[in-house]
Amino acid sequence: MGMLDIIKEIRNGVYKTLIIKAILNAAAIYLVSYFIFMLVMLPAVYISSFFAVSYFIYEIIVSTKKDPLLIVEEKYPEINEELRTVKDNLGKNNELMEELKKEVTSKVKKHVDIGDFLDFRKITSRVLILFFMSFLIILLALNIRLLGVDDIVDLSKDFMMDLGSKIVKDADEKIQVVLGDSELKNRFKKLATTVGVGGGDTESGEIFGESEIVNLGDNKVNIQIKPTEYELSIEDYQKPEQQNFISKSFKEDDVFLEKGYALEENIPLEKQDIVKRYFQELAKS
Amino acid sequence: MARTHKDIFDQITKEVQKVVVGQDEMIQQILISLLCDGNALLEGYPGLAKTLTVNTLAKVIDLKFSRIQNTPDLMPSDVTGTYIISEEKGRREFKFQPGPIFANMVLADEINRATPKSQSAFLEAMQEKQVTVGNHTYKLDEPFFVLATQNPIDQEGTYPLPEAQSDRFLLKIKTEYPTEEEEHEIVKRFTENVKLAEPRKVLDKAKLKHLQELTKVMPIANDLRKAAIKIVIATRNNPKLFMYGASPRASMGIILAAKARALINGKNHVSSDDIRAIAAPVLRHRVILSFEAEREGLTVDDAIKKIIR
Repeated sequence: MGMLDIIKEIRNGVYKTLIIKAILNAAAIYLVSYFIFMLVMLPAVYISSFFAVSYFIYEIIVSTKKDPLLIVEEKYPEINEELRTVKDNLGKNNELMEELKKEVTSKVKKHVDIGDFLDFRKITSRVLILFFMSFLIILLALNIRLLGVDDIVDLSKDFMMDLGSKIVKDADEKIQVVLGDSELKNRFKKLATTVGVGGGDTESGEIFGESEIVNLGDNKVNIQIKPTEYELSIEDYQKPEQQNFISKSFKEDDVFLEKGYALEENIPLEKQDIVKRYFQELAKS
Repeated sequence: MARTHKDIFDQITKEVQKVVVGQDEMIQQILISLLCDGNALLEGYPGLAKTLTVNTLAKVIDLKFSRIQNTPDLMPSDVTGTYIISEEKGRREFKFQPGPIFANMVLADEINRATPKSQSAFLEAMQEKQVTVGNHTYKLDEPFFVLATQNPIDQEGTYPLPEAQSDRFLLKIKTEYPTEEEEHEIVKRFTENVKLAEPRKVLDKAKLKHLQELTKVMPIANDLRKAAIKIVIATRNNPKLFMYGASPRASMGIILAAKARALINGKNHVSSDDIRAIAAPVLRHRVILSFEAEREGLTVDDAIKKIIR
């Protein structure tokens, strides 16, 4: 294999690894953005495809800007600057160049492995991200709710309540064992009196409130809320009350006369007398 | 192959160090100048074996060596040679008598003590590898190097090298004080009745020529070439550090010197270390520090280090 072939092979190998990395990164970006846009009900396919493709192009442009031989040299200090020197002087034939070619060929065969350019940790993490995001997206798409936010809140509330009551109960039992029930009550009473707080009758120093109300907890309480009546009873009918509108309470401005134009008819002058008489006769009968 | 070359240079260093204690860096940089077919300016305090090193190196490399002690009354003809009247068969004619510049390795000792006129006598020889006397131009024998020395102190009555001339030196090599152990060895070697081992010849003209050719074909990556050029350009675009930057001759100098360093170190390609190591010797006599940099107390080497970073 000639030096040119070796350089070509190294270059292709490095480009392949760069493309693999870019594809994995772009896929991770696609899935993450797809998930986010799915949550906010935006057209996830188009936007996340745009993001992923843009990132892929960006990464390819940035990573291919650097000479792949330089990337190889950075990875293997044994061939630092030698690979580039050989590439730049391939057309020259002299004893030093021949020697350099032989040296670089043997070093490349001995040290360089394109597999070294794939960081398996990174690749594994990317693949795991892909799996996890795919899983989340499937769950979201099928509307499967393994554990909602409300459930988490309820569960944590219950847990805290249980925990709190358990602690109180335990402490109560222990104090009762040590001091006895009446002793404990007296102590609380004293404390409440000193502080001046407590539910129920604070004057009496009773911080537990009315004992009857406490006892209510043991009984069944029937509470009926009075329903609202909407039905009308005919029996409740009364004659309308006569109102005298001529009252002193009216002010002068409140009473006024207005000519009603609505009933005015357009009767010719010569026939007005006939119409007048017609209505007079009608009134007599 | 590269290892074989390294062995040659290791051998040269070993032979020089039979006489000179320490100064590895200086020896290596002189060898770099020889491989690049360039000239070097050695600067250091008196008594740091500058002249001794060049003398010894000339013995180790089988080259014709000559030494010119520069003084204010030195005439250009004392360097290049002159026409003398010779009489042959009853006929008198002018005949060119070559000066000390006609050698392969010329040591121009305390070059800054010569007048600018005499200093310029070196210019053509250093750049064109030829000397013009009267109407005639004489080619110098190759390889040809000028290794000049100068002291940074005792500047009274000296003529600092003009920019044009200092640019013709590939490297400005700084000689440093020896370490305490080295100084012990120096004292022991030269104050006791110990016969110093005579350095033997390791390299001849042909071999040196071959090594010079190899230096030129030493492969270098395009990125590194660009980096070297960027360093030189940075000296021009950095007014806070440099008043005047280096010329393109410095770019050529860095690349070539880095190639030579790689060959000396037995490598078959130039590395970034070679460029970093050689940048200061190539640039330090080609740039002028800005007022701000001087006010901050920076040396030229400090400023160069800043731009290399």
